[in-house]
Amino acid sequence: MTLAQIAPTTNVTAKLPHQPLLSARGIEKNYGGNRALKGVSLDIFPNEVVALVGDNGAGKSTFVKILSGAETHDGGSILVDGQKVQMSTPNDAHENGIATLYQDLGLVDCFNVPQNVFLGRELTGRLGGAIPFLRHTEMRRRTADLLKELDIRLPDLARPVSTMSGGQRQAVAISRLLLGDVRLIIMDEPMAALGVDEGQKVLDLIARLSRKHISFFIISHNMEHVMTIADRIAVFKNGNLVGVVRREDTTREEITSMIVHGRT
Amino acid sequence: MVNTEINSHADPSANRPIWARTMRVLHDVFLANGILPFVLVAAIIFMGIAEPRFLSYDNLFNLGRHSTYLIIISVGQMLALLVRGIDMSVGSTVALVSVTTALAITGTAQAIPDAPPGLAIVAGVAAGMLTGAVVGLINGIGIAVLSVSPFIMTVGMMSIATGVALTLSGGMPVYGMPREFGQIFSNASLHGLPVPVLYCIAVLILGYYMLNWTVLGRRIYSLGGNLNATRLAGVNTTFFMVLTYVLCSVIVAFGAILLTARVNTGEATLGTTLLMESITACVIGGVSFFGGIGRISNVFLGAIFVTILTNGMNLLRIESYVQQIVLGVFLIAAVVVDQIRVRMLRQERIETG
Repeated sequence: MTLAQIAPTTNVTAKLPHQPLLSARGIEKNYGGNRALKGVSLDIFPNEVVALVGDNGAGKSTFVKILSGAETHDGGSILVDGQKVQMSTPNDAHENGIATLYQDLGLVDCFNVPQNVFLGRELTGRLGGAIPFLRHTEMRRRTADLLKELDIRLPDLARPVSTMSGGQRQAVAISRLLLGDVRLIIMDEPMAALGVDEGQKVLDLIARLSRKHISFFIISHNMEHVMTIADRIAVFKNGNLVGVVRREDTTREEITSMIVHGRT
Repeated sequence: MVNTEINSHADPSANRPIWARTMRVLHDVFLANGILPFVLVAAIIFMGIAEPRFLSYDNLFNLGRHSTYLIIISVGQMLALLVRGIDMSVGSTVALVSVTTALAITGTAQAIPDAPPGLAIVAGVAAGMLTGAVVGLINGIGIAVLSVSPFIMTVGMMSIATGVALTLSGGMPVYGMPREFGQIFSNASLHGLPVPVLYCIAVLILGYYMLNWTVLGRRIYSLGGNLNATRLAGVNTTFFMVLTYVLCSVIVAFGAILLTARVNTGEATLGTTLLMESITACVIGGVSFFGGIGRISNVFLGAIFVTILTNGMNLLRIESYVQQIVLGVFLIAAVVVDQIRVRMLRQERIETG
C-alpha cells in the first residue's frame, strides 16, 4: 500500500485526536530482582510526535522494546485503537501498524534504493501466465513515487545505499517502513550518528510525515531536537513515567529538571 | 548488486593528449569491471604471441569445450559466495557424484541385463543429482541451522565426500558406462556445438534468470548483503540459506555428471583442481567474499580466463606444479587489486558526491 492510500487528504491542522493510536497501561518489566519499569502508562495519538527522554537506565529502551514486540512485559497491557493486543513479537507489532527503525536501519548495503524498499515483498509478475519474474521497472516507479510523496530527494536511486550519507540512508529506511501499512514509527536515537545538517533533514522529514498521518515515538538525548520536533515529551526516571508535557507548555530547563529530579 | 555505473564527468579532457584520454577510459573500465577485462585481454595477447597455436580454431574450440566444466562449477561456487559463505567441498562433491552416477549406471545394467541403456543412464543421472542435493542439504543445515562456519562445514564435507567416494569405489575407477552416456553428455554435438557447451549455456541462462529475475535471486543476494535485515524483513532466512547450498551442490553435481561422461568412468579423484579454480574464477570475476555482490556474466568470463591460463600454460609446456603457483598468485592478486578498486571507487564517489 502506498502512502497515498494510507493517508488520504485530511485536514492536517485538526490535531484533535479522540482515541489514542497506542495505549500502554501499567507496563511492568523485571530483570531478575531489578524493576526496570514500574507500571508505566502512556498514550500516543494519531499524527503526533512523542519524544521520550530520561537518564541512562531510566527504562527508555526497555519500554520501546516492549512496544515494538522485541521484549515481553511482566505486567500491564497494550491497546491499539482501544483494543487490547498481544505484542510479543516484532510481527505482532507490524500487524498493528507499528514499525521500529533499528539503529543499523535494516538496510542491505549493496542493494540500491528500490531493492531495499521492496526487500522481502518484491513485486512479481508472470510472463505468459507461467514464468515468474521480478517487476523491476514497477518497483523503481513505485519507489520514486513514494519518495516524491514523502518529499525525499536522493541523488540516484540506482546507487547502492552504501554510497549514501547517513541522512539519506535514514530516509530510505523510513520510506521502506512506509511502503507497508505503518501508522506509528518507533525510533531509538535516530539522529545520534548524523551530522548537524543531516540530522536537520531527518527532523524535517519526521515533521512532514507527522502531518501525513504517521505518528512517531522517538528516544532522544538531544534536547534541542526534542524541543524542535516533539508535540509532547515524556520523561522517565528510575522506571517511572515522571510526567508528560506539551512542548509549548514547557521549557528546556523544566524538562532537564524533570530528568534529574523526577519532578518540575 | 554493485552498481557499476561511473559518474560521467563533463569531459574536461577533450583537448588532452590521446594517451591521457586512453588512461582515463582504462581507469573507468577498471573501476566498473575490476581486473578481469585487463587480465583477459593480456592473457589472450600474450598467449597469441608466445604460442601461435593458441589462436588456432582447433585450440579455441577445444578451449571453449574444456571451459564448460569449470564454468558450471564456478556458478555453484558463486551461489555459496553470494550468501557470504564458501563451498570448499566442490571438488570432492564432483568425485562423489562421479562415483555414485557411475555405480548407479553399472548397477542398473547388472541388475536388469535386458534394460535399455536409457534406463541405466536415467538412474545414474538421478543418483548423481540426488547425491549433490544431499551434500548441499547437509552443508546447508550445518551452516544455517547448526551455525557452523561455512568454511569449516564445507572443509569437513570435503573430507567426508572424498572418503565416501573412495569407499564406494574401493579406490578404483568405475568402468562400464554405456556408449550412449558418453554421447548424451559429452561427445554428441548439435549444429557443430558440442553438447557440454549447450548444457553450459543452459546453466548460465537459468542462473542469470534465477539471480536477476526471481525472488529467490533477491533472497540469495540479500542473505549475503545483510542477513539480519533480511530476517527482520520477514524472510525465512534459514530456509533460503539451506536452499542456496542445495542449489550450489546440485549445479556442481550436474557439472560432475558431464565430467564423468567425458572421462567415461566414475573417478574418486575427479575434480581435484576445481576447488581452487572455481574460487579463482569467482574472485577474478568480482564476486565479493563478503557476500551479496557478484554477477554471473563476470563469473563466466572469470572461468574462461582461468581456463585460458591453464590451457595456455599447457601449450607452453609449463609444468603442472608451476601452474599451481601461477594460479595461487592470481587468486591473491585478484583480491588485492579488488580492494584497491573498492577504495578508488569510494574516493570517486566522495569526490563526485
